[in-house]
Amino acid sequence: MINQHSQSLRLKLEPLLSKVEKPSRYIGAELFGETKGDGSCVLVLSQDNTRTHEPSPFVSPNPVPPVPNVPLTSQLDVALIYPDVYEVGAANQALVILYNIARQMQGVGVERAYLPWIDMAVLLREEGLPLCSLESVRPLKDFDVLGITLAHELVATNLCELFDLAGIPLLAAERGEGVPLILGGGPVAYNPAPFAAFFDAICIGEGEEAFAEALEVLAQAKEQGANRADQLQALANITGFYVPSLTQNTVERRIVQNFADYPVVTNPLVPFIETSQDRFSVEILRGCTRGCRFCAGGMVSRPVRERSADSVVAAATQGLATTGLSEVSLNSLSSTDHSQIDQILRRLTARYQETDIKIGLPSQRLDAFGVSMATLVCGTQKKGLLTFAPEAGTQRLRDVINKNVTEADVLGAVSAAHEAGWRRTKFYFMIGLPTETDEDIIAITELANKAYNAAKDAVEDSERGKVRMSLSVAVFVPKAHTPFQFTGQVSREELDRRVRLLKASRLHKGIDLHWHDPAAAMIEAVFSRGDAPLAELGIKAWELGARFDAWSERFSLAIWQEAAAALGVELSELAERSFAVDKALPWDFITGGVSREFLALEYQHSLTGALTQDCTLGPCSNCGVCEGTVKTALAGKRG
Amino acid sequence: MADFRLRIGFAKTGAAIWLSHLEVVRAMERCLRRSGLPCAISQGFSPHLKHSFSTALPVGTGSIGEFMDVELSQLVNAEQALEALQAAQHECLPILSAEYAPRDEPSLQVELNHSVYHIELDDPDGTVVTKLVKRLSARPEVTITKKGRPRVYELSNYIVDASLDSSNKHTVVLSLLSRPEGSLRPEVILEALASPDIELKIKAITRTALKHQDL
Repeated sequence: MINQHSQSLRLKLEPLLSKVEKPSRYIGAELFGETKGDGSCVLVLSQDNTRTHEPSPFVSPNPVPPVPNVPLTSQLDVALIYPDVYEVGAANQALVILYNIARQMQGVGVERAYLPWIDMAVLLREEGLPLCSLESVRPLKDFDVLGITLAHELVATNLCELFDLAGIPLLAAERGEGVPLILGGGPVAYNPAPFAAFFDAICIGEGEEAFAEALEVLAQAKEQGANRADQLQALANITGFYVPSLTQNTVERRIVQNFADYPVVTNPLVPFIETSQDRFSVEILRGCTRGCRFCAGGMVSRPVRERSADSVVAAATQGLATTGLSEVSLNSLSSTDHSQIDQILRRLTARYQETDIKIGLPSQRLDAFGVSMATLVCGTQKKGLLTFAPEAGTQRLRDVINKNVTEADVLGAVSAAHEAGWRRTKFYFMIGLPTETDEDIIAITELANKAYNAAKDAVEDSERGKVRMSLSVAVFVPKAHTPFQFTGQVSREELDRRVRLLKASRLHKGIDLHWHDPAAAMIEAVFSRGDAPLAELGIKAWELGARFDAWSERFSLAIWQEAAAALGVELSELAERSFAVDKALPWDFITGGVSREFLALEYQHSLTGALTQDCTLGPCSNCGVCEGTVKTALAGKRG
Repeated sequence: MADFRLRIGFAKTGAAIWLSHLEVVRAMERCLRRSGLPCAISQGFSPHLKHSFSTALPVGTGSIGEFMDVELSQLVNAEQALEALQAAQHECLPILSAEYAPRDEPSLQVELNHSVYHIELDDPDGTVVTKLVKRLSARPEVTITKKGRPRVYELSNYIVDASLDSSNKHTVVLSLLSRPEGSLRPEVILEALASPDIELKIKAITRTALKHQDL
């Protein structure tokens, strides 16, 4: 039955492909996409592939492979979903990992879906077609479980659009028997309250083991014909799962027991379409203890755990050979901090020096070592863009945020980079950080100008025209589970003024300036530290037409303001509210990461500019993470 | 040059018909890397595989007769190369052949200037196909707008042959030349000739052969 239904949906969806901007978003059929013998070439045209053809000048053609049949299943049917377009979602490493887990589990069938772009969404509604999975073109509402990743705060309207296109009630409270269980997870889930109403259960922390356990209990529950309430109860019993309708106490965040030995996915799906991360990824380490006080990733992903050089090199070579991709990216929050990064890069560059394979190192350290590692990666190849993140313009403010970098480090790194042959650099700064003054804003310009001069001084006269520098200025968004969780965002009007101040400062004409929209940052701040009523705000904004809010050209402050006004909510109040350090926070019930005491102490330190050292290089900072079962685990000695 | 020019025949079928030319190129590059064949790499700042493709197919058009040339740095037995490529292929872009081509031959785009298309229409009784074949065979002058600019084309310069598919009455078989000054896509020609009295509903377009024709 399902099979026939899918086939008829296939035939209805197919003609839409010629009417949309990028049809390859909707075809699936990636290499390694076939799981347990089903669903590879998904949308196969009705062309007759068996007729005899004219002889070609070089060869008589082989018959084209038959269209695979999607078998009937009596298994737990799971769809993993990234609530944005294909080329954004397919690059998401969390889903790559979870998909790989599910496809290896007995009794589980896993497929994927992404949010169609606006042109396709219009067509689906016109034709009255439901949103379907990529692989077997099944309506999402026919699955047992939908797993949705929450990668950023601006996801609420896309969740509404996803559920609406799928024909699923927006709110968990409105879903009865026969509707898929909606599971969520991802970095934003560390403050689950704003999104809780959309989900039946949310996984807090690292999903690998918790997700596998969830699928196992849900597969058993299906076998036994358990009802929705029993399924939710089973999920609530798994460490790391927050079930909004049941959970009354604390939820301990989940963390993988042995990251170093957890296998890297070396046969991920290989998209046809160019994605935002078009390379093979190896996560070389997890966690970061540099202790930047604004950084949620650095706080929630502790402790630091490194994969060994051997396992990184083995995974990289195997993954490249299997996928045929032309680049391997060594991912983490701070890859140059890996204790064996030098060895890893030397081994990989030696191995691939006679090929077209590139090695990517996404995060650079602001010192000579960072530059030498970046240069090592490039070998004799073209030196592209080198990025640095001083984040703040003055030493005072860098001390406030615990960014252990001096002006001398910045200028030294720039000089070293240009002496080594780099010509394009990009600097990341933030505005709106706690305690920021006009002096700090102007200092961004001054530091950038000094860096520009240092770059020009480091190269020969004939090369000076090639020096390019850009400045990307983000707006600070206070995040839950960071030392700055207690502090409100600077008002949008004030942020606008600071942006104008920056634009009016005497930035060298050769430096390109880009800045983030304070309006979008305000909505991020509303959600990052928000609580339960926000689901209604998201729904209202979606009803008024908001979609793809993370796409700057799609974001509309006016819509959000209208939605807020309709609900009697004051956006600026939510974004700007501060919490006393001893006051209850909406996310206090999530435990197991760094301790609340540590965050409060770090907040106090930030106000006095007191620095906290990286515990992988110095003494323990008493963040409390290693009191759990998983401890800091380095592959070698750092520093 | 020590490099060897391997000419690879492949098809663009199933879901892959919706790929852009660039996406096909990238997918074939990945197939080459997976195959482990000793591909020659360009020297210089951004090393890349050395290859060239037959004329680009539009998004939505399939093919069972595409070709790419790739430079190998070592001579590999052609049959072994074919096996390696087929082991590495994506099933929607199956490899059909691998043979060495003379290095001094012109590029694939110049060499293979004659495309045969099978165009399947939603035309239950075959009347549209019959009418279109008649109009195609007359090879009239038509006005076609490209990038907003209308231009008159002499179809006799482009159409080599037009006929009914003997095994499928819903299908037009159209042979087209691509010329140094430009080429015309089959659906564009059909649309121009169908206008205004024939309602054209194209179900599928497949390039079934690529050949050489002296101009």
